[in-house]
Amino acid sequence: MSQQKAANTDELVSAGAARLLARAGEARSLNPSQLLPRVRATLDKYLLKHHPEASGQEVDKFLDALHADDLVLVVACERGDEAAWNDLMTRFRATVLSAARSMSGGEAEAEELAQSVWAELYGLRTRPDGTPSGKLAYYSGCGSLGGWLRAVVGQLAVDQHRRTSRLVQTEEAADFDRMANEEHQGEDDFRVATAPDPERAFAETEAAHAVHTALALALSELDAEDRLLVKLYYFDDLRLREAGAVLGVHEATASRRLARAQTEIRRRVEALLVAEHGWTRDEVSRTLRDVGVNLQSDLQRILTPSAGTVVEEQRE
Amino acid sequence: MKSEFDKEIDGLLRGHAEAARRGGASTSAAAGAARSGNGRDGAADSPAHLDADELSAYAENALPAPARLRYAAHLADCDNCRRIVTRIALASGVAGELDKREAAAANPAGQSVKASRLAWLAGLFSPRALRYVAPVVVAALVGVVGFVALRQSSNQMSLAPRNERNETANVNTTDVASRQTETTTATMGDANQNANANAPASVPAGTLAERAQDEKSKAVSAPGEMAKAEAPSPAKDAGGGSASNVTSETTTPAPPPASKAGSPDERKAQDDNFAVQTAPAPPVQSADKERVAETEETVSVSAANAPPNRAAVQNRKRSGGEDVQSLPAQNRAYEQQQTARNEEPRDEDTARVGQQAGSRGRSNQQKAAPELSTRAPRRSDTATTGNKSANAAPETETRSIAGRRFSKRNGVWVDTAYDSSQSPADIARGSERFRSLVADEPKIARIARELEGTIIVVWKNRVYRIK
Repeated sequence: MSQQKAANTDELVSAGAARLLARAGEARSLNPSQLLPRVRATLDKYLLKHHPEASGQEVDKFLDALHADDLVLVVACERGDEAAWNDLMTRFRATVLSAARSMSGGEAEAEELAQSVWAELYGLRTRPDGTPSGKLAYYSGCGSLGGWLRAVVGQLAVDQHRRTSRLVQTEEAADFDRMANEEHQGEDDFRVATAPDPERAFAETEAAHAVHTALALALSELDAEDRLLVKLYYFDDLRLREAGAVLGVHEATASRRLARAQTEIRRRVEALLVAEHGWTRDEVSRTLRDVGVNLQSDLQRILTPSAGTVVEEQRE
Repeated sequence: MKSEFDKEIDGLLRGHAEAARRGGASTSAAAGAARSGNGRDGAADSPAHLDADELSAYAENALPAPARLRYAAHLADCDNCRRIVTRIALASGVAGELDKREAAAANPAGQSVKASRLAWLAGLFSPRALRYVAPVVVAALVGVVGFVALRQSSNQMSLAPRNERNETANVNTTDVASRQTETTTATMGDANQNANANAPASVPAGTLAERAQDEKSKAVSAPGEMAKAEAPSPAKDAGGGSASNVTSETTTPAPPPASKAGSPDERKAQDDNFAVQTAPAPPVQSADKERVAETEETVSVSAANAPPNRAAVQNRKRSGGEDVQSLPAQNRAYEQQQTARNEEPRDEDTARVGQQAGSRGRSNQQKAAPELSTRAPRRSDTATTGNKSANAAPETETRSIAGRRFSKRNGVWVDTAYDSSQSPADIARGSERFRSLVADEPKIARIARELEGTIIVVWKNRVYRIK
């Protein structure tokens, strides 16, 4: 049965590869058998690995969605087709440079990064025995070649940063660190709330800590996509539309999902606070409210130039 | 959408994220690390990272659902991979694609129907903007045809279509006939402006004309000879009386005898007036519109002329609310006819007319009425006399304002009710006397305003010569 299925799959892949070559704008002197290994690998990686029982129809649909032109171009490049290489560099020079700019501090850095990318793609394109090597081999045709190149640039940039600095921070974190270090040395007015007395401040700190811990735990228990959405929207500060785009949903859908996630988070946080601290529901509500208010004022202070780094206490 | 948000949790999450960003690794990252082993920073070291291909495929929404879910789990916890995916997704404009998909999904059924209709119309009108106008036009045409069908059942007037008149270079070798030809030509010119509407409209008009003639024969013969100036020659030939009857029936149930009296003449006169009037009408219309409101002109006007233009009128009104102002004469005549027919419940007309609100339609129709060289006097006493005098001067210009009809003779606008036995009182515009006169009779002011030069007007049994 599985053998038959495997045989069926092979047939489907052969037919799919033939269709793919047919729909490419330029065949570049390739024949379907030269595409077969690539197509088969892609199918395995993205469909069969996660969904082994995929039907023939699903397989066909997947294969027909592959980016034919891009895949043919890449395979031709790997086979040493210089014309194909020229095409690749001509078509995607701008894409690579633009991606490099978004990952780099300045134009010079961006150009250097772009050059590195091309070198990696070109320089390692074939092993001595002629088999393809290097990054191009990892292009599957599932996404577009332009998108793939952007990802390559991104990863290379991260690698380079990692080599040059041990800590990879988001820009915001770096900014805040700088602010904290430069502007507020000697100031000790950081506090969680505007409460004047230390005891109350301490209590509030404790409460805030409890809430934050509960939040973190609640987040970790969310569904993968809900958690991703929360991260995109709150942590990465994307707009709802953008966060939806990453998830592949429309803004309205993203909004609804986020609202549901919030409900789920609330439920979980309240349950955690009751269980962990023995608070009553009223106490929980009050705590959430207070911490929320404090956080708001904290944020305000943080975001204004001369604000103190209020959340110092929360650093462990 | 965001109104569904739990604001408190929303705020808490913001603060939480802020704390995490600023080094609170112990809060979010700790929990996150427990799941996937990736801290904020541990991305590069983990074997679970997504490769460039996976990142780009995810970002472009190109993955089948099971793969998608698995990668989402990693992305939720790996800041670097998530960043790359975000950049790719935003750079490739995924959001725009989603918008389009959402719009299509939101209206699948309506889309197809509409799409096919629009596609057809798009074939007719290339500019995209017209796609939105075209359905309106189509609706207008449908409404017109329906309206015409309704009309002709109640419309007793002879609806000789312009077509007939045009083609039959008429029957009459009389002045009327020739004038009619003029009219026709003039109006045709105007009508061509609304080719769209006219074309289909003329077809029903033709049939309507036939039916109208049938009705005419049924109509009361003697009374109601409100001249239907536009009565086409065949209709006329068929019997002036019946033609007039049709008109009168549509105008008022009980047309005054006076109007009946001069039926053939009246008709001719009205034809004449109408004919001559059509040409200069358009430019005047806009100015007249204001005056129209005050005018009581009813229009037993050429229903005959109307049909082909009816569609144009309707169409234009629907499509642009352009109102009466740009209507060619025949359309206006039709307007008048409508006005005449339903002085009270104009709603039917106005409803047909589409864009005008009911009340406005009424006023529009009223406005329309005078503009056009109404040949249709309100079944007023002046009709007869006016007709006669008008008839006497075939090439004369005629205007109707404020319920009076004036013919221009030798450069003087003469009220058709005037006969030379009366001696007019001279009044100069702007004089004291003039001012007191118009204070009492504002309509005279209108007349004086709209007619140039010397005007002889009969007002309340007195005759004034305004200079």
